[in-house]
Amino acid sequence: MQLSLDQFRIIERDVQSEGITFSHLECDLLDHVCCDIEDRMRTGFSFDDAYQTVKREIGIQGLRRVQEETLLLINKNYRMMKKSMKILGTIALAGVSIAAVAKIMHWPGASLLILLSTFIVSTIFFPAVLYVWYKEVFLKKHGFIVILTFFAGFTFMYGTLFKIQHWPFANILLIIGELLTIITIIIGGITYLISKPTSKDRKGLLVIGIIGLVAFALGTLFKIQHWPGATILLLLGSILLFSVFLPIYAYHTYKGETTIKNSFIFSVFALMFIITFTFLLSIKSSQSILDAYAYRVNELHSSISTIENLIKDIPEKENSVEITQKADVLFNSITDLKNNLVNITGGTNINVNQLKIEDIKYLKHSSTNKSYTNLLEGNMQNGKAYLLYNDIQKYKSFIINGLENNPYSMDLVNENLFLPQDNPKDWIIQNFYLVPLVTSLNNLSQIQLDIRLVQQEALNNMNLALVENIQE
Amino acid sequence: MVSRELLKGSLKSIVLKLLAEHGRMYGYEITQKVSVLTEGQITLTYGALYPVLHKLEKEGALLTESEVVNNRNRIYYKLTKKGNETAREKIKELEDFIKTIGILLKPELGLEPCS
Repeated sequence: MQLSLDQFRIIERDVQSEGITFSHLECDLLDHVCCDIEDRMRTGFSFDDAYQTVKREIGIQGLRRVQEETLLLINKNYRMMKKSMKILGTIALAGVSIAAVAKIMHWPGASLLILLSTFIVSTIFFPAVLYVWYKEVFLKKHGFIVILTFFAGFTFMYGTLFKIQHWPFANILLIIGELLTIITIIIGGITYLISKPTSKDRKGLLVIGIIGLVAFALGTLFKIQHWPGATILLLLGSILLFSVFLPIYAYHTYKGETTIKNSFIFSVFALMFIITFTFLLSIKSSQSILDAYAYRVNELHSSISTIENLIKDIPEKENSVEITQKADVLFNSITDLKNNLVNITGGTNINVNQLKIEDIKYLKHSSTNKSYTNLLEGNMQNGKAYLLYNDIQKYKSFIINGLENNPYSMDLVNENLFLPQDNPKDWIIQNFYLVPLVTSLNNLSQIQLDIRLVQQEALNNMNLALVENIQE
Repeated sequence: MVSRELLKGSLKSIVLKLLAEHGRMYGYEITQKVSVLTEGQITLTYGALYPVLHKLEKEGALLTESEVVNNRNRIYYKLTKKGNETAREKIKELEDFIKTIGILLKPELGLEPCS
């Protein structure tokens, strides 16, 4: 009893899907399975029954296990490598987890641990994994793709490390890593499409998957670099990947197999991990914007101290005490408000007048934080922002009253301490509504600077008036 | 049925012996031959046979020939010159081993068979 061509094709497809690449092992196994089935059919079984029995005897992934055992027997290094790979992988994973906790808790040694784990993963573990893959899965002629994957992963991992550590050249490394990844996906995808005999439907599906993946990778690259078009690429990539490719692929896999393969579960997990990771990385990139804000806050504060020094040099006069007192009260109340806002969002040890890079993660909180919104806006009439508006208004009218004989200074004060007339709501929205904490702090510091500027103007004006009086 | 543990060490010798006697053989043929000769006492599984065949090929003891049979490639294995020597050595080694084990299992040595 010989197998018909159709029956043979069914077996061939199943055996090929196991991904046996070592030497002529696939031919051996295919022939063996066919002989086994033919023998059973000779004793009266139908093809289907015979094939089911043989399949059951081989077991799930049985053929792959044969390949693995062959590799283990032939290559002693391979066995060592597999073992050390498992150990190193576990160590690196533990290292990264501990480092992450240390980083969050501001414990010492976090950077060193991250450095060490990244080194293990990128320079030892990752190449070892690729080598094993190359031996097990890839064909010899595809060595170029393996090398490309190595360089892509290597630069990408170090780029990420440099980015996290705020070291130089992080961006260049990330760009190179991302570009290499994209090239690898494209070349690897095309080679796969050419070399594997699959149906037209499946090829189309794979093309969609590759386009989605490339768009997604480009999107993250654009996002990290703040180039325009990132959102569209990310959107296109994720729609293609998650709404088109993955469901259809999962459906096909589910339909084609009675048992879900480990490799499928693994690839879903790996995909989830990679995507969460790149997303986090893209979010992390907005840190540079926050950095700019922190820089601006610090700049404002140095301007404030310059003005305060200038004010100290102005000789004191009878009325000047009241002006300085009122300015100080308002100024300090704003400092209190800033501290209040920072405390509410969890940054207890932050000096609002001197922001540091490591403080910034507290400053990402936006006004979607409930207690933060309550504090600032309250019921509109009793929120801190509303009270602040009133205080500034009072201070402003007080200063302007003293400047009645000097329209130029009056204009200056009006310009510096600009408040929308009788409309606190606009002012509150403009300064605090739906902005991150760092922006609120920025705005408050700007107001403090304005208060000092106005104070200086008023004091100078008073001195000038006195001088003029004496001259008369 | 002979247990897999016992079989493991002598598998190489068995394969070499069969190939020395029958010239060229393919994988399934070897398993069938072993099954028939031992009246089903020893069955070689895929996982046991092919690693050994590939290892012997890698060591230069075996040579492969590919032939198309009923749409598929069939890989035939046969001994090389070096393989003939290896086969002799291995078969001798196995015979010596059996003899030695035989001595160990003789009752007069004091090792009573299990009752």
